[in-house]
Amino acid sequence: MIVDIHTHFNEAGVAQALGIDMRNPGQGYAILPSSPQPEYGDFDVQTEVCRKAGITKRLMSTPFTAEMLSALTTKSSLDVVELVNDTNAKTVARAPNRLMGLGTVNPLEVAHIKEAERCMGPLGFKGLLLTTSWHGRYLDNDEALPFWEWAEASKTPIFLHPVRTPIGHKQQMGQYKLDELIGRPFDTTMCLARMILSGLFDRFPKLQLSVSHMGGGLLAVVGRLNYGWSLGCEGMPERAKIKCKDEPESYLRRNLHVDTMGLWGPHVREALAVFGTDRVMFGTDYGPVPIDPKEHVDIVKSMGLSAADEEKVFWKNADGFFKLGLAKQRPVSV
Amino acid sequence: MAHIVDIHTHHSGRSKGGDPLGVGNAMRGQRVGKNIYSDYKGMPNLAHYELTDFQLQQEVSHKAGIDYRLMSNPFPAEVLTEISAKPSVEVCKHYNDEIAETVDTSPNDTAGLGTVNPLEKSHIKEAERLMGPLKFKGLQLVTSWHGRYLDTEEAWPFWEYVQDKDVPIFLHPPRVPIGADQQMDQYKLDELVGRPFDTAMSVARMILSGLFDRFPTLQICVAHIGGGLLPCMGRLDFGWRLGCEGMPDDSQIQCKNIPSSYLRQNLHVDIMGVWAPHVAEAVEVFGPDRVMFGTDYGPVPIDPKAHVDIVNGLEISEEDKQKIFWKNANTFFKLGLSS
Repeated sequence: MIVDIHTHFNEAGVAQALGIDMRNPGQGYAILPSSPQPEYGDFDVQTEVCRKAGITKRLMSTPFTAEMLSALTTKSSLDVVELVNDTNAKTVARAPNRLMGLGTVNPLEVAHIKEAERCMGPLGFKGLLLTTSWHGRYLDNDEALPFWEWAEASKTPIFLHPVRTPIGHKQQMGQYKLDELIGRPFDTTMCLARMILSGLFDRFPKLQLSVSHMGGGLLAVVGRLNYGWSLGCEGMPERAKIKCKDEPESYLRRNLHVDTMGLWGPHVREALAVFGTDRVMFGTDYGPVPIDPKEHVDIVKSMGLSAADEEKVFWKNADGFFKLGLAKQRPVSV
Repeated sequence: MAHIVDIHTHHSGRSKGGDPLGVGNAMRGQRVGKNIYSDYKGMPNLAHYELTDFQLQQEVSHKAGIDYRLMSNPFPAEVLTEISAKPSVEVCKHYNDEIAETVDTSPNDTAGLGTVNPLEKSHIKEAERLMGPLKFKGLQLVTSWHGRYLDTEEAWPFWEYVQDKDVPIFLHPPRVPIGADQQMDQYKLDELVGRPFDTAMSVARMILSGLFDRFPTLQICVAHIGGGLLPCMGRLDFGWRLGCEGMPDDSQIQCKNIPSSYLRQNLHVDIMGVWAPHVAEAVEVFGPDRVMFGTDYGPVPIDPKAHVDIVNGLEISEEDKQKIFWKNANTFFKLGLSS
């Protein structure tokens, strides 16, 4: 069995329903040049390609549509996430045996908790995808505290995913797809570093977050977070000081999980070494990144894991984290 | 004999009084205990006293088994050329002369890396002075200069010079990195996250712009295990593989070969990150011939012994460890050390 926790489908018509012409979206959001990937909006191709790669179940989400469209429309952000979530529910309903959904909300708005409850209740979603920042603001912000309190109390599985237009995008990221290739993992890294260093995980010690793209660039800088913390902040303004109680790396195996998406075996290996085999889940980003999911499967299979650990990465960790209830079912034949 | 060469260590001279560059209070800070606090461009920063104490640096490094250090001073030239009315090359000269003075006090176990702005053709003359009369072992370049990256056309004459003369290059992030205006004034995020991503941007741009196709024999050593590059490497590859159809010409990826193929062709990294799992990844990706020992000692006053232990803890042969500790640096920077 293989569960892909990170896969996206683009239903047509969402922007239009909000009165936005994406060919001429206006000035509300910097949309940098990208090359269209038809697989993102082709349900039949997605189904066939994933089936061939041996993927049994896919957790379908909408990566950054809500964050982007809420900057472009005159409708309220709540209207936008409701529409995006209803649309994703429709996608999941196209193949309910193979698909499950993740909803999305803006954690910085208290009003969105109600929508989060609708996602986890009537819409039947298995968790929530949050973008790592929302219009440039990060998730350690005070405005997000009620959301985190709710997420911790309700044990809602969270999947963090970068935004369309990431930190630093004004600094020449319009070239070479740098917004996608470097900027997005950079945004993820900023988000996680802020959560750790601000002490968010001291305040909400039971939060469990899974992070796309092997944690973005977090693992390249964890040692830096550690020494920044150990060297101290004496003499710095209160607002600038690092707040977390424990050494930053100690939060990794306590509060974080990552997916394997990155198409780079050496970093998947590092993620397994750092997080352990219980906190790494299979994910492909298939749709907007239409690389054959088989390549991701092969990367996991090349890690030299025991059969039991390989099963954890391919589906058991996801089954536990997102409470999919698969362990009780008989495996679906492919 | 076996050596340990630290290719990544910084020293800043104490001000000798006066204001030769006319930069006034730009970098001046307040004393906090033995350290100096400043907030240049709104980025709160603690300068640890070890940065300016050369004798202490020498003692701590020797104790950790380091017997040769390449000294550089990454930030002031880039920062102060924005403020000083003097020509940028004069600002570089000032700080290069300062490094030369420092290494002259211990010529048997230290050598200098000078700095210039690769985007200004007129700096090539200063680079020649550094590699000639000043006997520096290479050049330390910041990954961006006032927000501009090193793949721009203005830098081509410099890269031509470097390739032609086989000048060893050490890339290091700038004081104020990409994205600094986006809440990096908290939690030292400019240093802890911003700088490695400025490095990642710089190297990604070099690769994707086709700079290494134009200058195929360039050899560049990158600080901090490549900054944030390695977690993004598979992304550069899929971005290249999926193509750029429909994008404006100046947005399209230009490099001829798959991005990861340039790593073992043009790049090297140091091990500075205080994080063994990522050093292990670097050795896997670059191979043991392209990884060098470096500590960032001075501004990052972690006992260099911690970095030595990380290399000793790698699951590689003793011969490969010797490469990382000194043999690769000896070749790359042409140090002339013998075993």
